[in-house]
Amino acid sequence: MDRKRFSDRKIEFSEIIKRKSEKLLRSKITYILARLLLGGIFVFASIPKVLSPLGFSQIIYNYKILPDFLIYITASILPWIEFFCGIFLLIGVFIRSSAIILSSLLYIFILIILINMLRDINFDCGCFSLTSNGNNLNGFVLIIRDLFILFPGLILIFHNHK
Amino acid sequence: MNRIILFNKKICIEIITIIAISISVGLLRNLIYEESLSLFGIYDLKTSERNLYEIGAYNIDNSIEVDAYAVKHLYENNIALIIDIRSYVKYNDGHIPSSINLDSFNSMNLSNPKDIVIIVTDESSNKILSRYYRKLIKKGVKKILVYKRGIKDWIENGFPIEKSNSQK
Repeated sequence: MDRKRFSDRKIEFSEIIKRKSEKLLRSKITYILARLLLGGIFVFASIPKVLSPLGFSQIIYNYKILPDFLIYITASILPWIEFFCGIFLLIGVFIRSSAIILSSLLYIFILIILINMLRDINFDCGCFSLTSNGNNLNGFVLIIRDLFILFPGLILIFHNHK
Repeated sequence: MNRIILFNKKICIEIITIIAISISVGLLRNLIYEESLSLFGIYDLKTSERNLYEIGAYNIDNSIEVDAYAVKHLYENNIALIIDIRSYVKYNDGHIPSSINLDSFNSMNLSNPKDIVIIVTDESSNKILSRYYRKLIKKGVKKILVYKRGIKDWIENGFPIEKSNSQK
């Protein structure tokens, strides 16, 4: 009897948690916070790359994933995509499209990190700075960080906010 | 149940707009800025190295700075190779015994590099530090130490120096 009551309560409790978290994820505040967070992160991350495409080309080269003829063009354009998507998220225009682009980029970054971990290639992340200050994060930490950043992106994409 | 349509016409147009804006600005910036890149050119490490000091790439900040006593211990026990990257004049005026200058470093074949290399530098030579740092990494040196306080600090600690009469 007690056992049944306990399992009923457990189901009830998980239902409450589920409902509450769904409500929280669908709330307008979460949507705005996710927008500002993702936008802010990407604007912040893009500034050093926008200022020094040459430095960024070095970082891309070190990843050893792109053919040489694509390195400069990627270094010139990718930071601006991050920058504009971030700005659009901050000012609140093209929200879903920006979130789709940034989330896709994050997926690609995660994939690249995974590939380089498997190939055992040592690389500087270059995510927020072009300099290496001795605090190089290892691949797993980078992936976890990217997954955390991906979360607000997914909220923005799948949010039904009207 | 509400279905979320990820890619409708509006979203596609917005994505294309964002990418078009980014490409335009990126290319424009590349045109007007002095540090322009040849966009479809093959990646050239040498071209990119010209700005190494400014951008601080190649883990320069990752290097370990050592003091005079550590340098003395490493050189006396023949553990480390000491490279003095200061100018020839300064090197000839006085250098740490057994250290080699840039000329010797450039011509030497580090086919069997020691595990530790110490770079002796001073304020005016810090600009070229990154270049040698990278060269050493390429040659397979495992650990690079930088003696930034350099020969001045060495003399202040009362350690011996060597003088050369090279014409360089």
